[in-house]
Amino acid sequence: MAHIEIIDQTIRDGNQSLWGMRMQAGMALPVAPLMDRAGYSVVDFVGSSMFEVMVRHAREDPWEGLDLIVRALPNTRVRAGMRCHGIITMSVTPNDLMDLWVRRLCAHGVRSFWIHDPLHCNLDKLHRLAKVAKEYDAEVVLALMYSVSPVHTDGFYANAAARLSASADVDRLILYDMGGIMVPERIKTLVPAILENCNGKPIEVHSHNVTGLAPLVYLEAINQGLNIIHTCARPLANGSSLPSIEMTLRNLKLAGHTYGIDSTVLAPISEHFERVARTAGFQIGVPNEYDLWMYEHQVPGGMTGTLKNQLAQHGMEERLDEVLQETANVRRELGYPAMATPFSQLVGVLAVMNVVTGKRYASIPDEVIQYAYGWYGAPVAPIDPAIMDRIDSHPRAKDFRNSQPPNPSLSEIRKQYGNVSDDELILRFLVAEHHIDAMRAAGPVRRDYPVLQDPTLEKVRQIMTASTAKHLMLATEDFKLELRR
Amino acid sequence: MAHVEIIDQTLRDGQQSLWGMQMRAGMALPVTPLIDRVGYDVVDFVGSSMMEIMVRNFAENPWEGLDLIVESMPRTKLRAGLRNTGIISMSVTPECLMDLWVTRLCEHGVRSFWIYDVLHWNIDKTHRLAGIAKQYDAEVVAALMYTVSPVHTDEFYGQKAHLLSNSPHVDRLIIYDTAGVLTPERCQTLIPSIQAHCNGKTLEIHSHNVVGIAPLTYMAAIDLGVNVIHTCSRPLANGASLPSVEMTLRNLKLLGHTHRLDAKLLPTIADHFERVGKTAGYTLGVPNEYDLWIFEHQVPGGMTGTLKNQLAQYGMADRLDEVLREVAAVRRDLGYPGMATPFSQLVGVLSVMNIVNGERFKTIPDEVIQYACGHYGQPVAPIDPNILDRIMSAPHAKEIAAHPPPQPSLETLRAQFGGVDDDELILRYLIAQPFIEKMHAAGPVPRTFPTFLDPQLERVLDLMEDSTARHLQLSDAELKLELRR
Repeated sequence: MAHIEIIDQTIRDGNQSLWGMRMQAGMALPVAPLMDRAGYSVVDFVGSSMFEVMVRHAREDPWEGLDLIVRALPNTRVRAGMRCHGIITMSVTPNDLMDLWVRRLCAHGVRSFWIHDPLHCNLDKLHRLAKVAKEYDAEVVLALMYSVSPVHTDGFYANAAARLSASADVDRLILYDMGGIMVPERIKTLVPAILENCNGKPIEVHSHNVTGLAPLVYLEAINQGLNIIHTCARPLANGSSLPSIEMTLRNLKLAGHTYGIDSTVLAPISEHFERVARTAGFQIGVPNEYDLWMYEHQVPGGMTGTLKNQLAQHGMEERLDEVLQETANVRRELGYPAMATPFSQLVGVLAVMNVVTGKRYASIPDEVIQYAYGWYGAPVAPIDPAIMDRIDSHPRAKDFRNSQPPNPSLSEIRKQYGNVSDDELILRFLVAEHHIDAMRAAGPVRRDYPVLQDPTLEKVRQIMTASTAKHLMLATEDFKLELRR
Repeated sequence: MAHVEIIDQTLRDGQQSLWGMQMRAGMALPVTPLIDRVGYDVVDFVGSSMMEIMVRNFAENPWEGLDLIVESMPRTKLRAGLRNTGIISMSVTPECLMDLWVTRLCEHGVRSFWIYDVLHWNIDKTHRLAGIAKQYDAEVVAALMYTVSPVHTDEFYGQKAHLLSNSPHVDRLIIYDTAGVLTPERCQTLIPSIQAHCNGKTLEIHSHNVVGIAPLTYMAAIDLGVNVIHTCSRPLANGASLPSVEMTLRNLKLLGHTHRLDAKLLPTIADHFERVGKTAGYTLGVPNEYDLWIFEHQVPGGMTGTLKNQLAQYGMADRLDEVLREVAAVRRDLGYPGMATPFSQLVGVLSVMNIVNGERFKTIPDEVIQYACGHYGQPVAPIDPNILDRIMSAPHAKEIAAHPPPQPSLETLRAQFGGVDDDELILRYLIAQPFIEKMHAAGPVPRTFPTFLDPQLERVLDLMEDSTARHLQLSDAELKLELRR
């Protein structure tokens, strides 16, 4: 019987897994004060990709959005997450800019960070960022990125846990299962191995409910002594996302565990997000049927959509299963990188190109060459020699071999972007300037998002969106409907 | 690596679990020739409750519907299911009528039967009915109704497997998990115990995917040597129903198992039922999130809906959880009957009455008294002595105890119902005559069910159903919509 701490992922990973990070601040702000009263220890919210999406697609200043959310959650730590070597998908970011990113987030009120390295090798970077966060007394959580491969053994994670938790600046570790491929049986050996080596630090567990087993994984993790779990409000839970807070509390209670969540505020929060989703046309999370295929390819839920889109561009949607099979092959050949940014993207792009061109490794993206030459750190297992030969003989190989990613100082970067504030500097680093101009022109961030409350109006909106007919009439005894363009 | 045989439950348990048995023959007939070519060994279809509903709700002759379905599926064995003590929900049916029911089903072309008794008591009745089916060379499957209680041990099921399979008329046994509470772990001990006692007869497994683990239960059962599993077409799978055939085939393939289904036909079948479901306003199956609560109350999915409706009649819809808890208590008090007809209904009605009255066992239905008097067979565990006192001191108790269910001869029944043919006799036994007259007046069974193919029309239909506004006008730059009642 344990007391369970719950971390809310509705507006970060729920939004990332189901809404493609399109949640605008105004979609969350109306219920943020309720979320603040729910009793979550931490509400995860910020990531650099979300910043990009807000500027590019929503024309919304993410710094302003962050300030509004932080102000609306005075009793709850707001969390940000980052990869230790980059804030832009697929590339390596200068150390100074990474540090600046953490500092600016702290200055805007972020009080908790989770930091990951899919290779678990860049300890210097992880611990350096932890130290920066500690200048502001923020909580630091380092991630054990769960993956299944011959090298990702319990011993591998025990060793990583020992090294990651060794710094005094690290408060916690998190067992992070982005692919939803953790199973309760593995928890029975993995968690004890981690607990023995984590220097007594608390361990969080975060498991996507991709095959429906995450709730069982949580219950088993609690049996094994972990007591911090991640959930989402129901409309943003399940499917590619995490378990729902609603069902999790019910299961905890039945298993005899306790928690400090005020469940009376959950229904209005979920109802709000459901209305937002229906109005905006965003997905509402539903559980998936158990699917062994997920364990084979280990592609995170959100990424399957990306692969589908990439294939559609080549008119090859029907070859998705082949691409997923190829991701498993490419991942093995590249030394089993965990399927998280940037490696999920690299492996995915290679797999699509291999299938589309019909010739394996006919084209190799620069980032894959950089990975092979250690720009992201040492691969967890050696790259397949035949593939390494292909990479060595690639025309671009000489540009990256025996070199390091550029690591300009902050003053050099400042010179490059002109005399702008640090917040602006980060935006310009992340997003092209014309997007930022369009964002400024759009005016202040909206504080709310008008939702259609009446189900009739909502259906009318759907018809208006879907209809292509010029004129449509339908009548029954007590009902007449007319559509005209 | 096993060769797995698959039994289709789309037309029977899928629609029972999700569509309240309201699938009309014309909803299935357009795709039954396809279902026939998929390669299912058996397609389950008939039950007496389904016959009742066809007559009452749709004025549709179920014998004619059965003939049409049988004709459209010449390659596949069609199955019917029955409780060995009765064909009307909560009562005991004369044996000669049970025999007639089996005979008539065989005459109409049914070639497979599953026969159950929740108490696993009336083995003689099961074997008698099996003998009749065997006169027509039909397959007979006797059911082990899975439930969790202190008395339903592996030994209990081992012993019942021995008794049930101990007749040359019984071809197979089925492990039947109505509530979806059979876990892969329990399979490890349960299945070997059954196998050791089943006289070498083939085992089937049927597990509702109520908490999302039925696919894992199937995989565990296959590993243990059970090679016959039950699935549904996707729109009628999951939730309160069984796993989908689509995902099941994928999982089987990944594990290296083989099957003889032609998967190419499945999308057309699923698309059809999805259109029917949407047009008729029926539930389409989606998986549920894992829920420990189900293990506690063991109420089959379909029944939760019935309990909700009953509570709503008393304006107590908010007290469902209390009723579900009471279900667990009543079930224990009554000696742990398995939660299937008639006991799921009896326990459910008692629980609702206990909560509504605010006093336990104040109202006691006659059928509960009959149960206590052993008219359904012997309870698997003794009824709680205090509750038994309460039941037997009910006003009708003595009278009921003195009158075990009558066993009139078929001649007596024929005289009672007038000179009608046997099919008509069965209908009249099941349903009040005015319904049957209306059915005959309604003419032949429709062969199809018109569905909306156009997504736009589909939305209009939703709108017409949901809207309560008298007049609604909405327009934007390119579309004008008007609604009038």
